[in-house]
Amino acid sequence: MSSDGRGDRPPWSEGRRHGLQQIVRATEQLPESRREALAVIQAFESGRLAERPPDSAIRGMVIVNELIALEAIGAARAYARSGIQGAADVDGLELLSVALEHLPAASPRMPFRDDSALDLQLVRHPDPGKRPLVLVFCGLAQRFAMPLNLAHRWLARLDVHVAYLRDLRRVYYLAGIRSLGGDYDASCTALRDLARSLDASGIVCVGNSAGSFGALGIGLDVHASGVLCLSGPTRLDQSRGDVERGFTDAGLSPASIPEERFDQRQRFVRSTRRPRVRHVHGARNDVDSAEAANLAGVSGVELVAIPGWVRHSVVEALIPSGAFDEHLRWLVATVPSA
Amino acid sequence: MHGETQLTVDQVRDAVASVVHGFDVAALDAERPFFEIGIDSLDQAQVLMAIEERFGLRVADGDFELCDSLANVVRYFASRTTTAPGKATPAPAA
Repeated sequence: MSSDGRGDRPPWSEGRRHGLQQIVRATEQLPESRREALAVIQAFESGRLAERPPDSAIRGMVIVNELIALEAIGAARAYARSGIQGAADVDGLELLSVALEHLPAASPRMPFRDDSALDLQLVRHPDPGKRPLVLVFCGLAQRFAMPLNLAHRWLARLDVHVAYLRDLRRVYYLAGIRSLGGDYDASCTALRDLARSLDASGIVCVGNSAGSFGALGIGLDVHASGVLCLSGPTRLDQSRGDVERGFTDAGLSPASIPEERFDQRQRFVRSTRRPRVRHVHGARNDVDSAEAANLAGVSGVELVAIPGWVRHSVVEALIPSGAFDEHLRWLVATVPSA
Repeated sequence: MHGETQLTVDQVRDAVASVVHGFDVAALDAERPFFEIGIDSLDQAQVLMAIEERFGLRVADGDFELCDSLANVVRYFASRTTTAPGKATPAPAA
């Protein structure tokens, strides 16, 4: 018995109790989705996940996303299987389910954990030697179709360096990458310098949705050898107003954007040093088909229509057959061998 | 239950601001589809879940696509308001 009247409790127990209370209080203040995700992890680890099925596909999708952010991939996969797959035709849910079912193993030599506040995240290949730099252009929702933590599993299998890019001003990358400073041209220069500093054998670009527009334009200006567009715009007509508002909100002048930058076809036709391009889109998605058609006939451009596919997002159509891997490998192979 | 809560566009804007960062939510056009302004289906689900949590409302899975803009979220709940299981009385409209 200790002399302070606290019985047989070890001297650190009081502090521990306070610590636990703080954890409980902090947990109570978390958003419901995060609290539920933590409960799912606990249930998964104790083999009682079946007792916590999602009560709706919408909520299930949010919780799966939380689990992915927490890197609880096993729990996310099991939770997705437990009840939300096929529960509703909710765009995005199928993509998460398909990605989790076909997810490549993590690469311990190319670790990555996404910080959604960052617009440039570089994952350098650990081995010496020349290899391509892949610039990954996120869409307006700041993801690469799926959360970057998942997408990285596919990209890390390639023998490349990877840089994940976000346009936090949501102006289709026409103002460049904010953290690289300056304007569009300064960002292109900085990305070329990055490739040089890595001793990269070349640059390739891949974009999803609005990121495709950035991949095309910046890809042209950094002399990329290949650009892979996973649906997305090739010209900005209706979205032009959004770009101009975004520039104004950011304290930039919309008048500073050269007119030709709103239409990648014009730029590609005029360029004497253009990358090879693949634009993959759903054959039954009229908007994406029209955007792809805008590049039709340009030398070096290949339009790949997925038969019968109507959604804007194409990754879930590509993953099960291995076509997602094939397109990525095609992209990397556009870099000339040393 | 019908008509217990009249959600406002500003309340939906607040929900958007709570889950999607970097937007000037006050400037968002209430009628534009979410996907056009950079809110994908995952963001949309987070927005709807935030509304469910705050206001004790509930979106049926099959109605996800009906809630594809700020204005349509308001219309959806105005036309078909249900109370989530175990939720308290819905908050009054702002």
